[in-house]
Amino acid sequence: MLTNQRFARSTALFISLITLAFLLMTFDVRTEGGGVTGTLRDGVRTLFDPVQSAVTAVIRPVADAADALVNLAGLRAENDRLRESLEDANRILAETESIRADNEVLRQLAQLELPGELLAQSTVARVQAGGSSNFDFSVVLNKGADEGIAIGQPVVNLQGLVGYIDSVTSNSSTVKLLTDPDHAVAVRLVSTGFVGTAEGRGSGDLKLVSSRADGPVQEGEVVVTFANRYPAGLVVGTVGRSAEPATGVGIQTTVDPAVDFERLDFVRVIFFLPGSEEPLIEEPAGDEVPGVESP
Amino acid sequence: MRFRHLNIALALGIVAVILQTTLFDRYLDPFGVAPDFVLLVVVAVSYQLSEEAAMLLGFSAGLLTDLLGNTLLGVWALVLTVAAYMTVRLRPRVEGNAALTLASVFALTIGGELLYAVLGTLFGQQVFSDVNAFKKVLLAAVYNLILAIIVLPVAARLMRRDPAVGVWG
Repeated sequence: MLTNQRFARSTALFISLITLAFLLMTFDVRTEGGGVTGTLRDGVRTLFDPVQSAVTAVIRPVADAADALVNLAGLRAENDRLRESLEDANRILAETESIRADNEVLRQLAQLELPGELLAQSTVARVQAGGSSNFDFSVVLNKGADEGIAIGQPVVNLQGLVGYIDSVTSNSSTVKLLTDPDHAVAVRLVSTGFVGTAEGRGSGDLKLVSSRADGPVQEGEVVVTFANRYPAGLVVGTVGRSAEPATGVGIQTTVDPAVDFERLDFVRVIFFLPGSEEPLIEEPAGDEVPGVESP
Repeated sequence: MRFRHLNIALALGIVAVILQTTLFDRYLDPFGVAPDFVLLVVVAVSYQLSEEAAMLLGFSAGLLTDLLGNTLLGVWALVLTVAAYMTVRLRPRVEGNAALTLASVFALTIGGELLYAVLGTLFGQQVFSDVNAFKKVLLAAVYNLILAIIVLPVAARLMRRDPAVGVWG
């Protein structure tokens, strides 16, 4: 049983901590993540970057091996009669699959179909940590300002647009993902040429709004960035469902992102800043879009 | 003795935040939802702490979560402080009853996630714009409930109270 004095003391501490938290929130909103809170954040991230990298380095092979073993279980059901002879081979495969897959992704990223200027002015980075909760739509990369990464730069992978750099420390950077509800990107539909915005909805698909569309859009139509925050022509995804324009509101539908955000690993950060005079990606003709692999 | 327990509690909080950002958010997130491991650890350890120590742990772990994540500074600090406070207040009612303890973890996770969503929305983050917001809250609570079966005994063992001191603090 708490004494009255102790109850008063703990209540005072509770009120103090809640007040401090509210002050921090207010201060962070007013400084828009900069100022003292930004410095504090950078300092803590710099301190924890090596720890997160080390933990990820330990976890990744284990997770990859577990992943391979899960897949192996599925194969066993289909290939029961080959089980014994396959076991050794699959064990070796599970161990080497992770390295082989990493090499393949790196090789493809090096050949990503970007114009020479953008490819030369970019760097490959790896995801070292995810968000801090289910409502934090960001990932942390293992490269930062020391590698030329700056706030606002676009991030892509082989599938398409991932997001943009939201904060940077010397050795790491945080990417705000396309799916963040606070994120909106100007887009263009490749076939029809309609422009609009694709807004994050937390997870899954994006919300596409094209108020100037005066014709229907078809499911599967490729959606690319329209020059604004990002260089034009980066693949965002495909239209999720067909839609007809409605009077006064244009078209509202969904976009299935090209990127699998659950499996982000290697990415390329393009040293392009919004509003800069860097060369833009040449608009693709037809359905041939950079970042989309041919079937 | 007090400082040893506080150090262990804070170390557990730091480990939880690191595991949340590296292991759970990236690799152990079935159906795209990760457990709220930091909240679970704060609740589990708070069952072994005094009110003041539990709140300090909650605030510290929350602040670290805010600093390492891309969320508004102070939101998780507030949520986890409240979760720790509620845990200590609930302790006399659930102590010795495993089912009630697990139920309290489930309820505290839902309450914590919803409080985060409300605070985030009030401060301009579009948490409720997430089409899967309620699915995430519910699944995270279910995962925490399952993990609690392991985490609660481990936390109790690590934070074992000194009989000479009684309830810590």
